[in-house]
Amino acid sequence: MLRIDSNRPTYLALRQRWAHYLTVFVALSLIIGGLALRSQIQSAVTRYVDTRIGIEAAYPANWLIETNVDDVAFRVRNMALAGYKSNIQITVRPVSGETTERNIGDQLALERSLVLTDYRVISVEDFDLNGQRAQAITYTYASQESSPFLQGIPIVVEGLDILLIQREQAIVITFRAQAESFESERHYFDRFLQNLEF
Amino acid sequence: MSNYGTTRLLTPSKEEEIYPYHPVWPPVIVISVSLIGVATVSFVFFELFSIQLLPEVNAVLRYAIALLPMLLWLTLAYRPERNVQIPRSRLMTVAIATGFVAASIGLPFTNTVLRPQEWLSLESAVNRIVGYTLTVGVIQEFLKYLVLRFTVWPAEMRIRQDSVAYGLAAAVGYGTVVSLDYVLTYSATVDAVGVRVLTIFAMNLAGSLVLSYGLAETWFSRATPVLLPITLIVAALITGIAIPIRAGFVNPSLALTVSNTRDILGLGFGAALATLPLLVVLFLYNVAETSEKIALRSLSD
Repeated sequence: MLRIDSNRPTYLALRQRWAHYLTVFVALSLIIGGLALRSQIQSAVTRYVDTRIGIEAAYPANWLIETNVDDVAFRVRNMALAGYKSNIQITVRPVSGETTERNIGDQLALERSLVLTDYRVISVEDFDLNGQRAQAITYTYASQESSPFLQGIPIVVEGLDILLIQREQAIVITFRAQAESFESERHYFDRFLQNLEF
Repeated sequence: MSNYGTTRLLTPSKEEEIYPYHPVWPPVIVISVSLIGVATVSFVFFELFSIQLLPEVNAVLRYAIALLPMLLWLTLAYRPERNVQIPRSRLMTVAIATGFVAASIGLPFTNTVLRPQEWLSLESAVNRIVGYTLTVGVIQEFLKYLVLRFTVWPAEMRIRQDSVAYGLAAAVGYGTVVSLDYVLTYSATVDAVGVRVLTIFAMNLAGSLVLSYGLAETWFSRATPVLLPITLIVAALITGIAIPIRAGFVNPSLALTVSNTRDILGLGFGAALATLPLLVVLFLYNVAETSEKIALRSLSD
């Protein structure tokens, strides 16, 4: 068996060195381009205006929008996700002048504990919504929203309600996502809140 | 007195020129054809005839199919190197190193950091091709390029076909890790695994062969420095095109009735992907080698 000495001199010509420099440069540029494309797609928004309840919002592009379903004035869902679809919704309720955010939170907790499986409030704290005082309630529950024809185990959903009262209306802005991906999806909600006007 | 008969004297046979390297194209073609065959057989057995096996047997078959490209490569490409005069000594190094970078960098970066399926699935066809090229494609081919560059290029490049052999090793190493990740992540049926493994191998092989052409030309001919980055872009583009097109073929269209995945189209696409780029790269290598022979002949004349 012949062996060729692999340690033979392998001097690279200038054009060969440049070929490798260019390849590394091109590859890194393309990867940065990929990250920029991801950022651009993820931050793309669609504007929504509802003069009836007086809100103007920018929700993530490609999310599915539903308006005026039951008591929900506005809801968008991320249909690209498998399993539970992360969603943002706005609910508006008329309230009396003495009603506080805490009252609304307690009422929501009572209602949800009857309809949502294993509903648990994790935290209640003050929240600054673009300079306005609001209350943030974090909670979890088990969802079984998948097709009844498919056998599947419940999904743990984490939710965040931002409650505020304005013009004798209680405005509840809700973000819900699968508990595992709640933090990674949270940036959609933060950007939504930044652009929300009412 | 000498007596000469009428029988003609036989011309002594010419000594055969022994080719000292193991040929690379037959293993590439046999592995591709074998994977197409296995995917077709598993499709016919499990999809058309709906053959039911014990879950344990199914699991073994799924892992066996995921490891099949590596087993075929060991049998048809790696082991025969022992029987030739001048073997390629770093094939296993390249296969293992590529597998390691796939498992430690490529897959984690793609699946946990970039997660292209989450933000590209609802985009337009062009955006999806560009997106997958700039994420999965570039990372996959750039990692393979780095492994080849720092393990075998140019020290182990004696003939152009060395680049193909090491490119095949890189494709098998990377593809095996991606296939195992698929089997471990999804509890797919045997026929779905067969089609997916074929597609993964075909994508990796096509990309690696295009990249290996760039590496070979950069070392053996006076190629422009732009050729190597162009081959990297083309290799990434093959992956970028293949992923959304395969999904388009396999995923059912929206209908009011219950729809199944169209695995037969996925199988056809995998077979086309395993053969067409291979033929194109084979043609390019033939052109390069013929041009070199003509140039050498004109020099000697």
